[in-house]
Amino acid sequence: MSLLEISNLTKSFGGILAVNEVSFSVNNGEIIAVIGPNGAGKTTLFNLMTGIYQPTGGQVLFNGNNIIGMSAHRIAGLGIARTFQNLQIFNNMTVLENVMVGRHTKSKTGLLGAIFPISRVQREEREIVEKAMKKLTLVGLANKAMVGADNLPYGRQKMLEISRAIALEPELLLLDEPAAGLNSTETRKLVKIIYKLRDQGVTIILVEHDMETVMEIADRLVVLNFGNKLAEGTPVEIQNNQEVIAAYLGEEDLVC
Amino acid sequence: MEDLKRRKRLRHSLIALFTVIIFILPFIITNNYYRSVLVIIGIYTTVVVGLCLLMGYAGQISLGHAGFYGLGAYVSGVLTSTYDVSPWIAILLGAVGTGLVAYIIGIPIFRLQGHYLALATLGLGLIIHVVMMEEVDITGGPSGLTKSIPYLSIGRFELNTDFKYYFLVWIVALAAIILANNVVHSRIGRALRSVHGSEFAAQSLGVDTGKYKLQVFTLSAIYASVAGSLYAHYITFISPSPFGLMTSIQFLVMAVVGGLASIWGPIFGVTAITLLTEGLKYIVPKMIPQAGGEYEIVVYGVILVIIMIFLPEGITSGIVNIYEGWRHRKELADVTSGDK
Amino acid sequence: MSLASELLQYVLSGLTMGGIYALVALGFVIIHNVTGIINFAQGEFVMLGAMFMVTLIGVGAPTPLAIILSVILVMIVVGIIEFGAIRSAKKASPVTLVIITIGLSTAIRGIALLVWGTNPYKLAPFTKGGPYHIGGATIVPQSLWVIGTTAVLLALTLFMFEYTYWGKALRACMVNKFAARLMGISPSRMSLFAFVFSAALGALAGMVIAPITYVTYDMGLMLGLKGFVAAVLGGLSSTPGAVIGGLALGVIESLGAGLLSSGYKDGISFIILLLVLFLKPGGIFGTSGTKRV
Ligand SMILES: Nc1ncnc2c1ncn2[C@@H]1O[C@H](COP(=O)(O)OP(=O)(O)O)[C@@H](O)[C@H]1O
Ligand SMILES: [Mg+2]
Repeated sequence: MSLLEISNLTKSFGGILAVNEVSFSVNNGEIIAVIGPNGAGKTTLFNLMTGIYQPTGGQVLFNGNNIIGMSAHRIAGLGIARTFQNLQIFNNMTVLENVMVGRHTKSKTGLLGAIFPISRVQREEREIVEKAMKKLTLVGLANKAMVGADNLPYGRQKMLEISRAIALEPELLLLDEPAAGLNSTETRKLVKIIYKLRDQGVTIILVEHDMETVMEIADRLVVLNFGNKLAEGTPVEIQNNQEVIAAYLGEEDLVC
Repeated sequence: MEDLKRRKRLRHSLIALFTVIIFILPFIITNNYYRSVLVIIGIYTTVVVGLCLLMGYAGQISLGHAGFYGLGAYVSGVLTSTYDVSPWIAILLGAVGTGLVAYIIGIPIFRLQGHYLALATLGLGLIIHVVMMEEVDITGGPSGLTKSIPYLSIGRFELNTDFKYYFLVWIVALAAIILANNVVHSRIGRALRSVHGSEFAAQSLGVDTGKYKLQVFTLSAIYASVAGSLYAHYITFISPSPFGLMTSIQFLVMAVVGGLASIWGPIFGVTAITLLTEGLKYIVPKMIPQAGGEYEIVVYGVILVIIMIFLPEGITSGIVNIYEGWRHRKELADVTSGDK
Repeated sequence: MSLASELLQYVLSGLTMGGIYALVALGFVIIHNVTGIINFAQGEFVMLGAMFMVTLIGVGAPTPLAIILSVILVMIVVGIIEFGAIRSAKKASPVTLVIITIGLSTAIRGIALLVWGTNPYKLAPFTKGGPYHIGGATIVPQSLWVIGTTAVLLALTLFMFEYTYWGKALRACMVNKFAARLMGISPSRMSLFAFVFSAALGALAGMVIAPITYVTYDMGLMLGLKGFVAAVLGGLSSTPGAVIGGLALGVIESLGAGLLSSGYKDGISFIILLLVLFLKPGGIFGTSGTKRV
């Protein structure tokens, strides 16, 4: 059984079909890239999978359970984490606190525990800090833990979002344009982090425009165009797919 | 990390210093009127700490806190005077009952985005007030409870003077502050703050925003209820008039003046507004003899508008910001002059 | 009186109050759609309209002149308030804006208290005659004025939104602020317009209802709250919804007060609010939109 099975997923905004009858599945441990020009529906696809939007039709099975109709926070609890194309950093918190929120589903202190922090609660709090620091170390931000998140440069904020998402210890990680706005050194670092996560057993779906990176790291690609799935296959298959070349790769300027 | 610990130590020593001041104050101030004002400030502080938690961390406004305050007062008052229930048990029952009311009306409201809570609590507050007026058999109607409410006592020791009551009230207020502070620095507090940063990101990390907002709302209603009970056993007589919308707005003004994101805000806001109100009570009748009714509401309204436009983080944060700005400039100046 | 005529009586007086709720709700909806603000001062516009009218009639102005002057006065006051308070806080968070409107409503109520005192005022009906009898129930001519005014103002509002430049611009603002700006429509001018227009609706509501209820400095509170309930019933963003919500609320409240208990008349609307929020949070006639990430 595959980890994720999307079938006939559809979302329309007013008259616009942002995602139209899209189906594909993802196996455990894979790295899948979703590509397509701007406005193809990639971000909408992520929003549907994470419960931010409710679809017009279709279903999403995660570990065999239909997650359509569930609220975003419950889906997160099942083990799907994500980053955002337009950064959604908690600017009112420090870097460390941002990642500590990522431990939310993995900790359980309730209101009563919050009011009366008995030793169990304090122990959990220490654990949260430790785990969060580990994730920060992974992305190279440990020395910035006490800095206000809004003081980080853009590239590091993207790293912060990734470390916050993996603090959830997800089975499935969705990265929406993680390399956009990064310089080449930062992109290399990102690729290393993605490989490291894969080695830890995290399944990854990423939206990316940087074709070189995509072709390098993705096991399979899903190509979207105007909300429709145009093609699906290995990097080599996609590079040789006539339809894709015509619609997308054939264009000289790949910058979208 | 060191920095974090140092700041925590500083915070703790400030709280300790403040506690000492609070417990010395009634020995210095011997005038009964001033002592009674200090008792009232302590009672209001308890309410406003809860309200600040709700506004500053759940981002929601309540215009019904006088209703919760009144519920606590009436449950205590009626149970102890008419039914001879032990005062401490009555306070507990009031708190549980009020918490339940808040929780139940909160369930539908916190499923929604936006500011339904403000109007829903406004409505709830009005209803509670109507019940106090209408249920004459239980509440005595507009003229209040007929039997007097007993003083609180600890064993044989009756808290029947301002001086004695002061300590109880301020122990409760300090406990309210410390417990609220615990919430702010907990998993729940972080979750609530994250919602301010980005609601979508918070949800995508598994934070059930509605749930925590509802919990904080309930907690703040319980704070108000306990404060109301303390008020009832202090005055030993209650009628509906101190529990109307006017009081809710007064609580809101206190919260806003103090600023929402600091534990010192409520004390400052409550003290400033209480002194202002007492001052107005003294001055206005001399200046405008025909002024009747609740003329303070003009002042409250104007304060709300002005503070929200010019110092939306409250006066305490405003001052802190100005100070930090000044210090920052000074540091910059030091650095640049060092360069030369 | 038979039960049927009694019921008819409740429905008639319910429709009268419901018309007022509808006008207040309409004001809520227009301001909310254009600016995103839930305007707590909406009820105070009603009170101001009624108070100016009482004062002008008191100094001997003929009714039509008093109506026109009062509406203009309220529009000016609200225009100044929008300009001075709402606009200065443009970049403020929604919480801040809500508190500002709470402050405004409180200040307006307080000033009214200082100017007009706590005593209730009574206003003579616009026209003499009546009461009329319909199927065992009676209706005073002023109720007809209320219902007529509501109908005319509703028609006017719908006409404005459909056919005038300002109305179309307002609707553009409701649909998409950004696109509106691209089309050269200034959202801040639209905000001013929304406030002033809602002020006029509220003021007129206050004037027609004044001869039926007493005019007091704090009458705006309840009317504002019930207008809001009506707006929520209608989904908070639909103009026809607001009107239907207002009329429905008026009738339900009147029936409830008549058949159950009049002391808790004001409680009924609140219970309806909670029921709607529990069972159908989008309002009875509402649709829910999708926020963009
Ligand atoms: N909340 C929304 N409301 C209306 N239209 C939307 C919304 N979100 C996305 N869209 C539309 O859906 C289409 C796909 O957008 P998106 O998923 O962001 O594309 P991509 O991420 O592939 O660039 C676009 O036409 C976009 O305008
Ligand atoms: Mg996108």
